[in-house]
Amino acid sequence: MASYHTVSVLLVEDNDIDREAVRRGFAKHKIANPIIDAADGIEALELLRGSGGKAALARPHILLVDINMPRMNGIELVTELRADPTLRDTIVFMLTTSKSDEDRIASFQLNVAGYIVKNEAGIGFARLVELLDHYWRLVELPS
Amino acid sequence: MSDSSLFVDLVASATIGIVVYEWTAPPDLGSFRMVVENAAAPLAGSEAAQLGHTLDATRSRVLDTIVPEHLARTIETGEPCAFEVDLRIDGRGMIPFAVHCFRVGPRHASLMFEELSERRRLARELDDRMRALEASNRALDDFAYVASHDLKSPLRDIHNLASWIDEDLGDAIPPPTRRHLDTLVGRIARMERLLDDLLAYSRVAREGTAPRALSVREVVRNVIGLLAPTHHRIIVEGDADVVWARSAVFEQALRNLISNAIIHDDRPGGTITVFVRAHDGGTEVVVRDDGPGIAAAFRDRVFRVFQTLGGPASGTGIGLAIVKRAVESHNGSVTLDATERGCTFRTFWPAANGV
Repeated sequence: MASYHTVSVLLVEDNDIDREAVRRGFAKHKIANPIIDAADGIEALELLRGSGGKAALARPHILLVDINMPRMNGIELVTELRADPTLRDTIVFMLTTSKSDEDRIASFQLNVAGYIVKNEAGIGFARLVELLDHYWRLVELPS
Repeated sequence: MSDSSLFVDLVASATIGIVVYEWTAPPDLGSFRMVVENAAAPLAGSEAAQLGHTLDATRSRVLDTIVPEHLARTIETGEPCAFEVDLRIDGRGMIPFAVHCFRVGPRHASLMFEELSERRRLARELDDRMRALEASNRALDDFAYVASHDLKSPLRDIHNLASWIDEDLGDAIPPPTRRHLDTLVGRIARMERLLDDLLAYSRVAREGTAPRALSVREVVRNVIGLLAPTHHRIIVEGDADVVWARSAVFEQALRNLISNAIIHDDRPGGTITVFVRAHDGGTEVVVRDDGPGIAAAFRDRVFRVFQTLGGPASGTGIGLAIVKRAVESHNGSVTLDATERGCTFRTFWPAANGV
């Protein structure tokens, strides 16, 4: 397993309960991958670019991105990533309460890896964690 | 006083403007001579409309040029006609009038002038008020939508927190606290249902698809397909089938009526009859069940938001409010007839031109 690098997760989410839900999901599945928090799109960009006095996040990483956030929302963040030559290959899962077709279409237009609706408490997150666990074991990520 | 002088008086003092023109040399459209003019005539007394003037002299200035054509046609055919003109009245500017034109003799035609300013003002005012009312209704719908949508997020958080307390403490929870926690989770679930229903209620008005011709039988088949398995018989009768409605809204109304009949039945397998007939400019769709019925005292309340009659089958009390809203958003209506046994919901959906 020489090529198996620990994948870190950048969780871009303004709701502290949802952040904790993801952490609990990881703990329950005994997944020890580091989770780094960003409260909105702007903070996420600073962490990815190592700007704003923050250290750049090590690769490989994947992003879990909420859509409705203050300052810079999830769609705006991913739009920005896709326009940035060094970040355009970032793997992004949308994690949102929005069931609107508009948000879903906009997300896939931006080549997100998945669009996950966190509708039912707990259930959505548990499935998500299982999915991620399989995903990064199986998929060769850009490093 | 002779009858004819009474008529002269009547015309002279009428509050509606009356003039009579004589066609002195047909077919010359320039040969209409004014022979009668009462005081209320819009141009009475003005220089341009002296009794005895010919229309030709004034038409360029005061009357629309189509007036001589109207007079000529009315005299030739005997058919009355009506049109509107704007006249410049000294000191008041351009004033709109409705003009009724009819033949009064072999070569005479009368024009009656009815001022429209007041009616136009009222129509404008009515229009403004309708618009304000629509805006306020829309604002209310938007509010219901945003409120129910935004309240869901903190409620989901509370749901998460409650389930984590349960997860983390598990068997260590003492029985009274366990009971409280279970009640808490039950209330959260109920609140989530209420918000979902409120969202559905506000969506009935927001749903923006265009109405089209729908087959009631097809919609009923769809509704049955989405129902939980049931022992109830659902049959469609009647000689009509087509309803003019927004498809999602009509289907929702029918689904609510049918599932209401099923969940409130006190026996395992009754019959629900959907009866469709053409009626008075639209389609009547009647949903009749043979369940326990609704006591007369409660019949007015069932269509109100969040009204239930209690009992184990009660939902959030929004189903029939949604039905009412659905039909009313199509300018239709819904009524409930109930006998000792069974309910009959009559919905009326106007035909295409009614929406």
